[in-house]
Amino acid sequence: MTRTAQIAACCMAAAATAAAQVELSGQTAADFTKSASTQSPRVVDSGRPSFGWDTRLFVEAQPAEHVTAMANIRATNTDAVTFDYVALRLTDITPLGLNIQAGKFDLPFGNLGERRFPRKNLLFGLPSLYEYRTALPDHFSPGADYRVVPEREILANAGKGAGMRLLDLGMYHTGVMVFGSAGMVDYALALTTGTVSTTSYGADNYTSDLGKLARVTVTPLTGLTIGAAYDWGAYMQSGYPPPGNPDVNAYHERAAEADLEFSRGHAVFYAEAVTATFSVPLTTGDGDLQVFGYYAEGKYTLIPRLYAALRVSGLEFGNATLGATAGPWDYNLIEWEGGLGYFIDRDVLLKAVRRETRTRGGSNPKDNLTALQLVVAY
Amino acid sequence: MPAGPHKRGLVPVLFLCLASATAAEAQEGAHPPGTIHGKITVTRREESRPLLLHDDMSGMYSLHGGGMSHPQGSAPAGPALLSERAVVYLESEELNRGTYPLPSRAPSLDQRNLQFHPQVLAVLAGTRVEFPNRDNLFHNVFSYSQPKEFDLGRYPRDDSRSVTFDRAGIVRVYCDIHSSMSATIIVLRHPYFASPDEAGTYIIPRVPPGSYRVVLWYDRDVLERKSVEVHEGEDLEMNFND
Repeated sequence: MTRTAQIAACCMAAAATAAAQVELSGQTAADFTKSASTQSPRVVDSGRPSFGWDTRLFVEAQPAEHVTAMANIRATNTDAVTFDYVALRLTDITPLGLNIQAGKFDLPFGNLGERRFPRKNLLFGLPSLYEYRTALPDHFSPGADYRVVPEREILANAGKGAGMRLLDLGMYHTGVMVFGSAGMVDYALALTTGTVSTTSYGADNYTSDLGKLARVTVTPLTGLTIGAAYDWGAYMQSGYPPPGNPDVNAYHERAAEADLEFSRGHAVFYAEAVTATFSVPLTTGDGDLQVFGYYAEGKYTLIPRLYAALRVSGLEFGNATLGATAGPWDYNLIEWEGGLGYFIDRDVLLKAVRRETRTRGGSNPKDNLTALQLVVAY
Repeated sequence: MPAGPHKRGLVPVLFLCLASATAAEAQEGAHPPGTIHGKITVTRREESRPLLLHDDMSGMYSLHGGGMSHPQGSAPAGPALLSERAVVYLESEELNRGTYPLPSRAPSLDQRNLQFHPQVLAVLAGTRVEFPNRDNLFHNVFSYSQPKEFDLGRYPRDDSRSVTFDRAGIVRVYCDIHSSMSATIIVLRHPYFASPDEAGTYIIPRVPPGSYRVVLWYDRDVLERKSVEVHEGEDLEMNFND
């Protein structure tokens, strides 16, 4: 059991013991997938027909009126049990009505929200900016050629999906967050152990710098929410410094995003755009790697129980000079995803999804994925 | 101080008076109807609305939309009153075979303070029910129950949608956005039902003489059934204690 898991277990046990109210809920998904068998990182299980599963447990306890303890536990067919979310929340503790949260939580960046979980996810996976691994690593492999990294490593990783994601899955990190609202405005400020791109999936993050985040949302009218966020901090893991420039704090990320949520009648629409700049102290001189990611998705309820959903997402990589090569530092891609969802019961959802991926670079692979997913919430 | 028996369940009484007037008047001359009244006492621990809900994680876990703070006037409320959680109705094949006029005014199932009000509503088959939104946020009312499947979509505060319930049965109603919200609509083939007042007293007037089962529906299910024989002009008291 990892240290995080031990702490989580202790916190939740203590909270549960003292709690006046404990809620346990969850959702489990089983899926069948078949993807194309190209070299793209979007390929699932080398293109073989596959079955998979994903289960989430949510534990929430309120030991006192203004104190809440929360945990989100994830297990999948490919990952061991992981505590994604373990946090204590103190609410309405000052005359200003501020709230404070400490622990491991999802970063206040973007509007993915509950759609990160299968029950509310309109389609199968997350948008590509949340899942696709870029060519930029957040650590360097001991076997790499340290004389020329990171240029060689970045170039060698192009199109392979071996580096960081632009937004790392659910973006969970350990830290502290202050948040509140004033009228139609919600805001949050957070200090965390990592940035939106660095991973904490199944492990702690070891950057020596703190990630700094700020987010504000405005809801000018019911059904319309506009948000923006900014994040900056070091992305390189201090445990694996590149010998060419071992100052891991020189490897900075700055990310800005804007998002929108609109709903009316039987239609729901979400969109998000993110631009990030990674400072890369190259052995041939400092350089910045830029990437722009986006997605837009919508759902329309056709008849009771049945909905149709569409999503487009993509990543556009900026130009960089890496050694003797100039051009985009990774392959651009665009994805279309469409599907139908049918509620067998209120908490039983069957989804059929088709995803098409187009990559510009390398062998220009055309990927696709067909997925059937059954989700049960409880 | 509890209200007197003639003030109890004023709305359902009026409804019953209107709805059953035609059918009842025809019989009253020959067979004066009776009345069933009583008091409901539910001693089981009141289930409060869960304060911690995974479905609210869009607000609880992430800072977007409404965030942690609920819009003004939309804060979750405490447990609903007995008058909104209970319905007493009669079961009888004889009553089911009758024809009854529909209520002139559509009953309402409000969405207010992140709850449905009332949480249990009985209606006569064929009745149109209004679903007004009283919150400063969207709700998405739906039901997948056999008697009536519907999905009303999202609409703003003080707007309303309506659904006509043609088939008798139990209709479970939910909100797609706030899954802690639930209500039950009991669609009956006759108008012999009543909601209690806040003190738990109820009255079902103009009951034709005959044998019935009196059913107490509380929250999500039937809590108790009792058999009764109503005689001509009888004022029958039937209390429920749980």
